[in-house]
Amino acid sequence: MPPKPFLLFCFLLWGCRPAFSQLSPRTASYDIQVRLDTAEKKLYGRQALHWANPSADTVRELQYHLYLNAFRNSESTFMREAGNFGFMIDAMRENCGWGWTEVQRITDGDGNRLAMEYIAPDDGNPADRTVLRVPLARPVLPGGTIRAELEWTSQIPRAAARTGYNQDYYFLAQWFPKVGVYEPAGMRFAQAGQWNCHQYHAEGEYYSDFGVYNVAITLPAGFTVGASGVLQGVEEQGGEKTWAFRAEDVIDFTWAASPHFKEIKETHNGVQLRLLAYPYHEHLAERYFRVIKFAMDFCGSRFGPYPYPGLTIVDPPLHGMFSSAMEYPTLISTANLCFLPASVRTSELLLAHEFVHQYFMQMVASNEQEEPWLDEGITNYYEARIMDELFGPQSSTVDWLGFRMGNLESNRGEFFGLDNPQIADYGRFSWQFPEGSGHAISYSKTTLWLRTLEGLLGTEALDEVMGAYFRRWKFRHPCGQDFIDVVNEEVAKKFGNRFGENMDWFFGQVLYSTELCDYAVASIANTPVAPPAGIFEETEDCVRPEGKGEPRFRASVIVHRLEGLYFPVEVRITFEDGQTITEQWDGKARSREFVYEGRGRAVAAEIDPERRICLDKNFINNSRAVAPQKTGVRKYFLQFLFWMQNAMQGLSMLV
Amino acid sequence: MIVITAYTQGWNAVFRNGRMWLALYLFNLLLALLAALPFSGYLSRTIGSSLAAEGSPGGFDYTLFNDWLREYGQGLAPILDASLGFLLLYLLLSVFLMGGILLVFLQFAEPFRWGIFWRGCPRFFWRLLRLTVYFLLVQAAVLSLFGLLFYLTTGGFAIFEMETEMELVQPLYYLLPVYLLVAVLVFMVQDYAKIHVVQEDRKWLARPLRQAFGLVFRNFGSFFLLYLLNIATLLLLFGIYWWGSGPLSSAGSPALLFLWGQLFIFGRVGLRLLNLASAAYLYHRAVQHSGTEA
Ligand SMILES: [Zn+2]
Repeated sequence: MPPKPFLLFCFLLWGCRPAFSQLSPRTASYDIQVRLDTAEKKLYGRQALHWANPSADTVRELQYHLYLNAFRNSESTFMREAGNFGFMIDAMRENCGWGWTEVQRITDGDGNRLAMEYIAPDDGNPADRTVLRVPLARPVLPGGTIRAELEWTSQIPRAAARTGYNQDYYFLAQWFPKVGVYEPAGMRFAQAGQWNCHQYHAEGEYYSDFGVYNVAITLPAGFTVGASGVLQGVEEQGGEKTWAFRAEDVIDFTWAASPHFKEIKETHNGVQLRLLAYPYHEHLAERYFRVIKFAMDFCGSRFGPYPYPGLTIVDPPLHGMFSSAMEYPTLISTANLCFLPASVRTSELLLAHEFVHQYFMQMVASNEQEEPWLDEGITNYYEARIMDELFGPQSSTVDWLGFRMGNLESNRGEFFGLDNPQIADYGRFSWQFPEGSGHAISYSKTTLWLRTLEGLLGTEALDEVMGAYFRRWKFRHPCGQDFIDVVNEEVAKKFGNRFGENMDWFFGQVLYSTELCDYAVASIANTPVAPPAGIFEETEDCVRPEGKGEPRFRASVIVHRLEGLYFPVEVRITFEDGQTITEQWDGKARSREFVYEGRGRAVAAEIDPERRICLDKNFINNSRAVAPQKTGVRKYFLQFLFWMQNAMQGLSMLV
Repeated sequence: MIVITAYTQGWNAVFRNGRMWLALYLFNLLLALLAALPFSGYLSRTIGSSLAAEGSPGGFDYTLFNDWLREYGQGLAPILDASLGFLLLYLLLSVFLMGGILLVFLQFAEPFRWGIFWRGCPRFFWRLLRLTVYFLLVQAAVLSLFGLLFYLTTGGFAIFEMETEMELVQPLYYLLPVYLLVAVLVFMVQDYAKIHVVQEDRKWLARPLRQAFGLVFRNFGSFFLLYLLNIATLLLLFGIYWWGSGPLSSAGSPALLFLWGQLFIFGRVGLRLLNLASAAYLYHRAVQHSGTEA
């Protein structure tokens, strides 16, 4: 029997538990009761916002996002920008499935009815109603709190981008009036205290404060609901059910409902995994859980255990594809077409990606609208790491009928596949990337330079740096400079000044310039060196060149930097006797010559043989050999020949 | 059973005319080589001094392919254009050779003679070319019709109206077999029409076409069974190739894989001949049975 003081200690510890388990500052918490009218496709909501002023300012207004107003008409800022959502938006437009949110009433804790007006801080678009300004009757003092109660109604858009309904499938993301983030002076880019509450744009979604969400959802009894947080209970009354959820220390709350969902549950590391899939996708559960468990272990060992009790995975039906591939706190969605072969791993890569977002976006809550690379890029990089480790680096995304493509490889393909990869740097908001280049730059280019950073520091060191960044900024709102600061500190700690005073030279290039990287071996020359001949001080007679013996060679290898970016690289030179020399080159000069005398002839040279500099746009010119290299040429020539023969024989069948 | 006899007689004819088989394979190889040689030169110029392609022994290398296409892809366009020209040329050559092939097979027990073969080639060229064009148009119409049916049954690919993605696939369950059946029937009629044109040696095509239709209609069971048997043999050949190419590809031996591929092409040429020879036999038997008027 344990001694009594120990029991007392345990009891005290238990009593303190809520304080220990509070992970975030809980600045903006919500109690929401919402009723879904499936006939009218409407939401009727009542909500109370508990907002704590995080600053030393006196705050005189609140600003709310009314995201669903993006789908109110064709003139909203979202709709004007929504080129990438073409076919989804078309479906909404054609079916007159527009959506909106109207706040009927807002009162403060004292019962004062508050005024409200729509504002458009980004573009002044008078038709945009996605931001609501609410001047307060009584300002919120520094460190003070306010309770704001709202009554609102929303028309759910039909199959809009990321959110909406189609048939009897509902995916409610960005669905309730959500308060913006108040940034005190000095936080991120804020010069003075300010509301950061952008309009809803077609690109870039998240930036919110942490809080606790108590959400009660009432809808017809036949529906199954999946949502952020943990299910507290279900009550049935008069043919309707009310599902109560509680999500703690999250920045958002999302839910999905359908009468056709099949629920499949598993537990991993004490976390309940809940898959909601349509019956004909049930067989995919094993694939989904496999990658989620792997990603959970992968992230857990690098950044810390997933701290939430559950994770809900929604596998939308075909008509719900508008909601696929999305990340919300403790709820993610994937996409799959069940006639696709299992070796086309779209759903796996989406799940890996959306799970990593639980760390970068949800816990490290950067501003996706202002710096999309900070969550999407880092997430995409770790998606590639997870996929390549789980399924092999050259086949992790597709391995079908002889066609293979790894995840990291596909990122190189996407970024360098841009018509103009130099089209934009990162110094712009998510909706300001020209010609739809945002994805390739925020996701893929970031993946490439993070892989390059990994190549320079080593995988383990990079993971430690990223772990430090995560730990310092979890449940906070970092900006890009905060990330750079952590990298600088950690690299200095680990490597001293091996990479210079700090890593600003690296970020200055990859983040704030649009230059590309391309190293090439320009030439290899081997010139015979005549032995010394003539009159020398220590000789009396003329020294004649000896005709015998091995001839000496002066081997010269010239390498070029063809593009603007530079990184320290290795150059490996192979000599005719099979010996190699690996040179370290700072990679800065436009041209560099490596000269060797008396080592015999150089037969080949290769820059960055380990392919650490993933940003190098052309790996083919990274190496050169003196003798023609026939294996590859022969292989691809024979393949081409065989295809031609088959094509010809196939054509002859038409005769 | 007549179909089995035709099938075995077809094999007999193919082996008896082995020189023609070899020649047709060599034509294929030669023309493909002509099309592919510029590609080889271009490969040598672009990756021939790099080590990048040396380290990827087996399988598809996406990074290499991607870098190559992006950095050097512009030079590929004229090569592909020329390849298309060679494909067209091969199609015409196939029409040209068809007359010779059929004339040889219609000699039945005769030993192979180049004279007969070369006599048939120019003699029937224009007629077989016209026939090919007609049947290509028919095949295109059949394909368009079934494409349209697929489009209509999926509501114009209205994915947001569908319950599941199986609604995209399910129409194929019945449309695809019916399409394949119709396409195969058209090919079959085309084969017998060709044989009839060569056998009857008539200037105009309308009558042989009508007669070929009638012949196929009257002997549908045996003709179709033979066609299925030949298709099954072709599928078997594809299966054998697929079975062997996987291990050879991962073994990283391009030369062995190439040899395996050449055996496959040689087999494909042979099976094309088998189809014609066995059909010629069946045609002959059918005509004998129904008298002189086919
Ligand atoms: Zn993402």
